[in-house]
Amino acid sequence: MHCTLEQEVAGLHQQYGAALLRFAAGLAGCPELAQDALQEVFLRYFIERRYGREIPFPRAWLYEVLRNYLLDRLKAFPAGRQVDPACLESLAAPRGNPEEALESSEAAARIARALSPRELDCLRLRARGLSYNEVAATMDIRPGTVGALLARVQRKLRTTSDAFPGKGPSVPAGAIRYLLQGAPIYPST
Amino acid sequence: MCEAEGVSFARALGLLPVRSIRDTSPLGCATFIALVTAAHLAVGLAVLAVYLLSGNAVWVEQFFRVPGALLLLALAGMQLAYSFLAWRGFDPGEPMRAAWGFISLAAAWEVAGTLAIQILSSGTIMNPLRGAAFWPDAAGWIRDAGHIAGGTCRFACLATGLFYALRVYRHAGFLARLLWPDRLILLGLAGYIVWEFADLGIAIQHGKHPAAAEMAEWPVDPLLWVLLLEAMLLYRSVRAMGPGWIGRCWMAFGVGVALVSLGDISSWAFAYGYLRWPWVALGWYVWLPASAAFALAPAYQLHAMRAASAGGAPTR
Amino acid sequence: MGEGERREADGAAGDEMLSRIRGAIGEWHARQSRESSLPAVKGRVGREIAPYLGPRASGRILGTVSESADNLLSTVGGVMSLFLGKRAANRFLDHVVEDILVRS
Repeated sequence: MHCTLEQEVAGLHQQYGAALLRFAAGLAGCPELAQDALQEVFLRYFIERRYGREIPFPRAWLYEVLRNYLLDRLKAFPAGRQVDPACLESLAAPRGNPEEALESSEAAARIARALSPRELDCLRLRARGLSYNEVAATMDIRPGTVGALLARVQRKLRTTSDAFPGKGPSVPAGAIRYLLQGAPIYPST
Repeated sequence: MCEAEGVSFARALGLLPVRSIRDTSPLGCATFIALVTAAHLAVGLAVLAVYLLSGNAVWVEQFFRVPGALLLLALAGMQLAYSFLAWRGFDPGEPMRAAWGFISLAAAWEVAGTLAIQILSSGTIMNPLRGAAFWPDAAGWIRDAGHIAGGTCRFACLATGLFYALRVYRHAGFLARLLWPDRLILLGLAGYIVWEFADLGIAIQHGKHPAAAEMAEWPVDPLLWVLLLEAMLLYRSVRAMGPGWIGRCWMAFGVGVALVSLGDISSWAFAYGYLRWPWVALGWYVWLPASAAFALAPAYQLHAMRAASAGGAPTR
Repeated sequence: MGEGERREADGAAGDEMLSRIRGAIGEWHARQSRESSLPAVKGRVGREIAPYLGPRASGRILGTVSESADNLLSTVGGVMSLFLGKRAANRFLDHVVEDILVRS
């Protein structure tokens, strides 16, 4: 039975591991913490399934537990929310030249300041492909609230895109990549 | 100020989170309900003693008209608030949601009935309608409407709610059987109800024309019999499970039903001369602890639900 | 870094992560067999249920759990959901997992 469970865990890791790690890195601001969190979450999944807990939506469950684990760790150690400069170097730089990377990072930081932590969470989860119901389950809110949050995000992104001179009406793709792929733009306070 | 066995009044009303089921504050909402009711009863019985010694009924009348009326209304309001919150704690489709839905409806009828009887049809200063031109003629039917709301309507909803709760006990495998003393009591009460309706039949045959309001109250005693059956089943089931917060909830409903039945029986016994003055006065006071029991029941349920949620691990 | 190289790097990182997870599972198994037996785990879970449903009910619920305890959470969760609602029961189970199963 345990072999089956290990295979189940391995299968889930293969399916969602990379996306979960990027999500965790975005939240944590540091890949080491993200990796610890991911290990903890999959171990917990194994233990709960070992004792017979039914988890009908594994993807939503993994995101929810990961998110809550990281929020608890970051609350317990607020200094952990400050970005370690060493972590910056270990992150893969987005495509393009360093100037473009810096611009994208600054644009992402502007967007992140415009969004509340809940809106940012909701955007990240939705961008990972979670359905409204899965996002709702992960954030412990109603599906209708997910829709309302995303509508607010859209309005704010449109407002923020007006602040990008020469970039046209849409938010730069690099900024969105920074927001979603774990580049350290998470607020330090 | 009010901490309900670990749940502050604000927390119990859903405004703040609960800490844990093991948190015991010196004063709980459940304890608060019990203490306030006990204090009221103590004052009420002291006032009754003064009346028995002095023959002056003013104190007793004033006790029931103002502080007694306010306490009944407050307890009915708390019952409604807590029952509604308990209902909200279950998702659509969950078996107990139907139980708490009907219990909340019963509580709403109780609030309406208490308001009509204790406030809107009373001649006290609390009644906002007292000065209205229509009030003297309307007071009677307001009172009748209050009896129907707090009697037939309330008991029908409560009986349905407890039925759904018993279904959950049966589904969980915890439903106990009645013992022979329980069956004897139920048989006795059934006989009393049959006798009552037989008397009524004879009266109608002899020309009695019952008013619509009176007929609307005929189901009260049969409903009380059903409630007593349900209360006994819940009591036996809870005893078999051992003491716990969920058990306290359903036990409190059982106590409330038993006390209401006692009040009903004392009124009947007085009407038929089986209970003489001053012992019938004790029947007046039984409604206070009965209301307290109905308010305590959802408070216990809510505490259990909030404590289970608060005792959760930080990772979810 | 090209796309192919990036995929290879991701794959290697993924394998490493999976090894870490397997290692953590193995350590947990070893800790379980050293420090706590299944009856002790069931007993602790029973003590968590008792304040809600009563000690005799708790005993009856745990009596239906298999010897290997592979239906422990589904059995306890099922009964607690009936009386507390799914949301509260899920949070209760989280507490049981965190305090008794993960840390034991």
